[in-house]
Amino acid sequence: MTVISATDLSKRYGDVLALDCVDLTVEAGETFGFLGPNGAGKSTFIDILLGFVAPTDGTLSVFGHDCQDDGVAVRERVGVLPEGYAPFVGLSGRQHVEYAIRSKEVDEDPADVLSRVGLRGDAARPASDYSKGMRQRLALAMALVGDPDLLVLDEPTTGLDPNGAAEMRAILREEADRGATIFFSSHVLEQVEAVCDRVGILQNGRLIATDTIAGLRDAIGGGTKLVVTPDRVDDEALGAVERVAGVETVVERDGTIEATCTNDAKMDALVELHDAGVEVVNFRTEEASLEDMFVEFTGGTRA
Amino acid sequence: MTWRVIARRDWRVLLDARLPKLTLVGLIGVVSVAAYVYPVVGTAPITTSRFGAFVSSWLGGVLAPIGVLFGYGAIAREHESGALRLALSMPHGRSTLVFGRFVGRAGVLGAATVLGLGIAGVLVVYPFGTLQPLRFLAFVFLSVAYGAIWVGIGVAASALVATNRRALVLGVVALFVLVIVWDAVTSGAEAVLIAAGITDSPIRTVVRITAQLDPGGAFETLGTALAASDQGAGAWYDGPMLALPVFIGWLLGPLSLAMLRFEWRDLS
Repeated sequence: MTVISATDLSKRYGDVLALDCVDLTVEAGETFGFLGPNGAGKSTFIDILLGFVAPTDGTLSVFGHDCQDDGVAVRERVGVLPEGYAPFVGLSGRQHVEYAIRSKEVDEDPADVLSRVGLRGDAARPASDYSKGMRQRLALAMALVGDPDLLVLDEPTTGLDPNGAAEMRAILREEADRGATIFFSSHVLEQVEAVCDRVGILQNGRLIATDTIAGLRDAIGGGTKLVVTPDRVDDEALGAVERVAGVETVVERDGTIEATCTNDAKMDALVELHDAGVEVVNFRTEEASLEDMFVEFTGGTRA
Repeated sequence: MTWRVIARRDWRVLLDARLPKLTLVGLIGVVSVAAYVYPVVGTAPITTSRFGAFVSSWLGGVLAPIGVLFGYGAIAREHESGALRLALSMPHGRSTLVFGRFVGRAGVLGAATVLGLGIAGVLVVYPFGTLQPLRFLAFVFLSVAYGAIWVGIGVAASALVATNRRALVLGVVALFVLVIVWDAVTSGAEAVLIAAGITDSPIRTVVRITAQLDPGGAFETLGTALAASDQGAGAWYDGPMLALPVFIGWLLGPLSLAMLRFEWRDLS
């Protein structure tokens, strides 16, 4: 069953085309990662999904309900962690969750929900005094109320320390195991790689790739990463690797040369370095990370 | 009925804040002082319904700014802070959100008005006054609705703009125009017509009708009508025939227009 369906979705703000004819489907039970550099249009897509803004063209539906015309029916089945939100002034963490419980007309114990996100001990404090990470946990708690069929999480790990991020991932896995569909937008590619079944890469408002992480790796020719430690890293050394057929990207990092390339190109790259007079001190190969693939697809723009 | 959830939250938030509580104490104090003074300065018979006519201008002057104060932050403050994104991530429609906020805030003001007028009723009746319960209840209801008109104007200002400051400016401008400018302009226009010897012409009728079209004018006309047993032989536009639809229009109009506009606004 299709949960999210976007067809020719476009949004223009004055002269700026924030989304350009985006077609996307997310199926039930998927954990879908939505990637893109700043300004790519990720938040605009989520804003349309949540009914905050209307598309200029095209349609976006969730569970068959149009997000503009039938937004309440959409949100009855969706838990949302919005980006850039602030808590309600004057309400404690517990009162926030109680508000979500009453709004969704479900019967849950706020203490249980707050325990799940690690906020039970701070439940009585005003939420406006919470740290950024605690606010993220609170919004996640509100999103989890009522066991929604779809979780929409916009940059959910912002402000979380590594332990908090790991706890967030664990909760998302539990939700996925429960059968919930998860739509996950993040700049932290390791997070996306750790939890997502499939990803979409958005750039300049256009969806430039949608696939599983393995599929993306295949699409860039096998997706091997060659990490070489040469005796020197200069333009000549980088150029030598770049010239090899099958090499997709070459970057310098901490005195090493990192190249994403096909399996066949690895040895050719090493030979080319040797021929250029560069001594190879050490080398290793890795699978290309999601970040490497992201750089490849977006032409060098970091998330 | 999710507007009840929203109204309940706003009720609680408003009562927990210091400034709204102070203004409500001020409102109850003003009404109580009016009730204490009325038997001394008022003309016989001293009755609760005649007290309504006496206090309507006092109430009009107090309820209008408090209503705007309660209303202007209803939407814009959370739009500016980002809390509106959290509010609209719940399964509420936008109109439901605006309506719930209006009900919660108008409810707090209405409860304080009922309390203030209840105390006032006791002060008027004891020891020399007379209770005319139905007319007094009607006046209490009218006063609650008048407070709701101004909360509605404040909430409408809040739903039409993106920042709290703009909402405050819009609310204060509406207050200034409807309370001060309206009276000054219509009174001035009528004085000019009289000075020019124009006492019986359609243009004077238009000016006098215009003078009755603001919420304060409609409230005072209806308050006076409730106090008087004899409606007299004034022009139709000086009585409830015009004031009642004008009053209802102000109660429903600004809020409805704001809900309509807010329903289709981009909230990015």
